[in-house]
Amino acid sequence: MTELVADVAIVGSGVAGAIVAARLAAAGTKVLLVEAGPRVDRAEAAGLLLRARDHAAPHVVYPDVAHAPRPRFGAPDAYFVHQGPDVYPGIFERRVGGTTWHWLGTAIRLLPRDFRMRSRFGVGVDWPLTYDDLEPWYVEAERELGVAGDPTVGPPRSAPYPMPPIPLSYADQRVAAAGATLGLRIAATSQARNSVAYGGRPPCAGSGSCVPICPIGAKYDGGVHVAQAERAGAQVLDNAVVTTVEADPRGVTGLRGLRPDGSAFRVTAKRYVLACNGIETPRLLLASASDVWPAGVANRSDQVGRNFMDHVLTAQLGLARDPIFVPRGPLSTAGSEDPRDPDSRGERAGFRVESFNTGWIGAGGAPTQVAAELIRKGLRGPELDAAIRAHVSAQVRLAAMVEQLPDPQNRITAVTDQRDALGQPRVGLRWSIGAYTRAGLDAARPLLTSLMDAVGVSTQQTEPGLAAGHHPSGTCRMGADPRLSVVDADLRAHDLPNLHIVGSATFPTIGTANPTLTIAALALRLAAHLQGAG
Amino acid sequence: MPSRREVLQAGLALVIVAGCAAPFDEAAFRVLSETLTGHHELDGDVLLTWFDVVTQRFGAERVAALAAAVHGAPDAIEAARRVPPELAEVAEAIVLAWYTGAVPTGGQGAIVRTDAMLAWACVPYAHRAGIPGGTWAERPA
Repeated sequence: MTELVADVAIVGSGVAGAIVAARLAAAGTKVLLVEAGPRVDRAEAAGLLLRARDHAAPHVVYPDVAHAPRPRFGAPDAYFVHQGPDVYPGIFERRVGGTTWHWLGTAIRLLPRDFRMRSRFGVGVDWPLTYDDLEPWYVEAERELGVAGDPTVGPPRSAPYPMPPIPLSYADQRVAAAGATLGLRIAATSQARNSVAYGGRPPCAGSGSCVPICPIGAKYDGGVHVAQAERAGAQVLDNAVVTTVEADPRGVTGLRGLRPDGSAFRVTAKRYVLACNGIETPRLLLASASDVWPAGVANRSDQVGRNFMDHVLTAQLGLARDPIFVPRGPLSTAGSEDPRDPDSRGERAGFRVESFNTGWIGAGGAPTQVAAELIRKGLRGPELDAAIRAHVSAQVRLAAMVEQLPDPQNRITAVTDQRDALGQPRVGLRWSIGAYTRAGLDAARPLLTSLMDAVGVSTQQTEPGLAAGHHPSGTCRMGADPRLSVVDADLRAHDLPNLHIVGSATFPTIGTANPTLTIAALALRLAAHLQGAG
Repeated sequence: MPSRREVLQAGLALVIVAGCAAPFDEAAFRVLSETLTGHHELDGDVLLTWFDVVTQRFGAERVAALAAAVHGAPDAIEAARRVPPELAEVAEAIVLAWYTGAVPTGGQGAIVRTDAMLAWACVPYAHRAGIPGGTWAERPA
């Protein structure tokens, strides 16, 4: 058994854990950052992408590792033990740097009313924080990640963006003009993607592969803060799966884990931070059940694993009468904030509209797929070439990302009679999209259809099925009442004073913002709190 | 054990002996590919791959017969008209290979080359994933 000792042990090296590690290590704290998966070699991953025909799903460039399995596109049942009624299609990554390796880069803030859903709309719960409480940390997070944005878009802000906005694509400009005819403002999306050189990283060069990987590092990923942490003296232990959080009634006493070869390790620290994600963090706590903590560690409230939420996406596909020249540039550079916060949020979900620069890539309309269909129809020569160009260059894809409310019945469980290659319980998941979100989807679709019409399309259709935002949240939520929440406003476990949880697992509600910027803001706030705690 | 290339060459030799025709080699496959696609800037390295794949999948004799059928066609559209029905799948596979980078192997997946795909050449303004493509804000010239 390998014994490791630190002042602060952090489990999970994604954006949340990496930021906490970097800040604490820079302040002189002895930090151990434990990551289940391997490190990522950017050049190797980018090379795998180039060997894909059109656009690779993340698992193509981040090959499976048996000891740290994760869900992959198109095969949700291979990872989750679904317990109905809906199948959750979300994915994430277990690597050093986490899922930010293949996030889109959208870095938008929650809105002030998102923190007050119960008070303002009578649904969901309130956060134990307000927007004003978090606003300075949003500013700091935007500096840390490197966010490019339009200061006229989004909620009130106390400082400018660190970078000017990423330019709207030609396709965005067409969609924005169409939106204006409907009174819908389409504007630049705030993105953790360099519009100019920033943080030692280059500006975006339009590689069109934010998902699954930015080949030049213009888009932020958690590897940025992992590197900062290591330079400041933090130890990073990769390929190390934490299997058990050991705790007595008063506090966490250690972490136990396994390496891929089956060898064991144990970590002891003064403080422990769980920064896995909204699925792996509750899975670990629940799988750590013991005689002392029969329902799982830090789970006297029975809230660990409950209130699982994600955004639900519906997309509309159209063919413009005049070409909009996709695919080009970052995958999405514009959207509309207008539908995010309607007064009707007591009855139905708000949503954010996204304009995509991808055309129909990922929806069966990649250039090679269009070509194959036309070839099989018998087109050849200049007619074939012209038809491919006409179709691909006209592809419009618009989407709406719809919020979900917390529902205690939507929950993660540790399925102890089904185990992965390392012997860890598989993830059970009960997930229902729910009437509130479906009502939001019902409101979003006519808007997308009208917007598509205003763009000027010859045909349009709704993309089959629903997608997830890949933003698992809510499963260790923060709150003032220990009976109804897992951590307090400082992200300290109600039950265990030396245990902190950071990440979207702590979100009481998710609003219509992609969660990463809020995760980063909370991580920075936690790091400051831990520094003050000594 | 003979290599794939040696087996192929042996098969070609039989075709030549049986038919007393000119050998169907890579150069002949290039002419056939150019005729069927209408593109003349076909990558030589990729061509070797598709030559091997197509002749192994369908047999050198059928590929040679297809080449004979479309020989002299002034363009890809006319070439398509000249393809005999029994060789249509061969012609389609060759065109699919060059445009999409994949040749179906008949229920066993596909042989894939991800470079030199003509489908992407048809949208020259487009940014192919993973390759810095420059501006996206302006309408392409």
